[in-house]
Amino acid sequence: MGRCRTVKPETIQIPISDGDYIVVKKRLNYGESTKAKATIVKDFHADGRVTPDFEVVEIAQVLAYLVEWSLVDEHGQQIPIDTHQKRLAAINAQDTATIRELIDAVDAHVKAMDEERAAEKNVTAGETASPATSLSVV
Amino acid sequence: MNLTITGVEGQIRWAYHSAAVLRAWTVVSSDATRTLTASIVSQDTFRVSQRPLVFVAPHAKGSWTWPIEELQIQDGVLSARLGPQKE
Repeated sequence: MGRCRTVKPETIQIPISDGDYIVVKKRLNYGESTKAKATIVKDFHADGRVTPDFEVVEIAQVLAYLVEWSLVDEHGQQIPIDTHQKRLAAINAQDTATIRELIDAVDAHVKAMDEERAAEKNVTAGETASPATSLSVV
Repeated sequence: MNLTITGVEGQIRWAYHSAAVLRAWTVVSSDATRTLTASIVSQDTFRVSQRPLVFVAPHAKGSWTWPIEELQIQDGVLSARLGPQKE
């Protein structure tokens, strides 16, 4: 039987400074990954060139991965980020240092997940690969 | 005694994914059973088929969440048996 290729919607909580945290998707599925790429394009031109959307280029990965956070508003209420529009608006409202911290945290997470998957692939390949030749005792 | 809660907007979620957007929902709670009925505004057929699902209903100070134990969709109407409300 083949392996399940559906991306399980799992999350990881990552601590950031001052006791805050973000909750991010462990992995993106194909649709989320494509959407993340599409968000950084502002315009497609007839000659094939694209104009990037500089407002989201830097935070596209954060927008794609971020599910929840502990950041609060001036009244101490957790800032909701349950839709793309809310996430974008909330991110734009934070100070630059905070967003830089989020970008770095998500970058590190993506790298760690890539390494984890590469290691898993090696293990799986080692377990399931058939030998190119086999010996038989006659 | 039955307790009935109604709302305008709601959502079925598969983890962090939205599986269906609901409107005009009603939860009827009697003894140990809770039943949800709602109109479906939109749905993702694949996500709705996944488990576990939860019903999330927003309110003024946040949201209520119930796990879905059994789900049926027919002619744009969703009905579900809910588990005990999550904190």
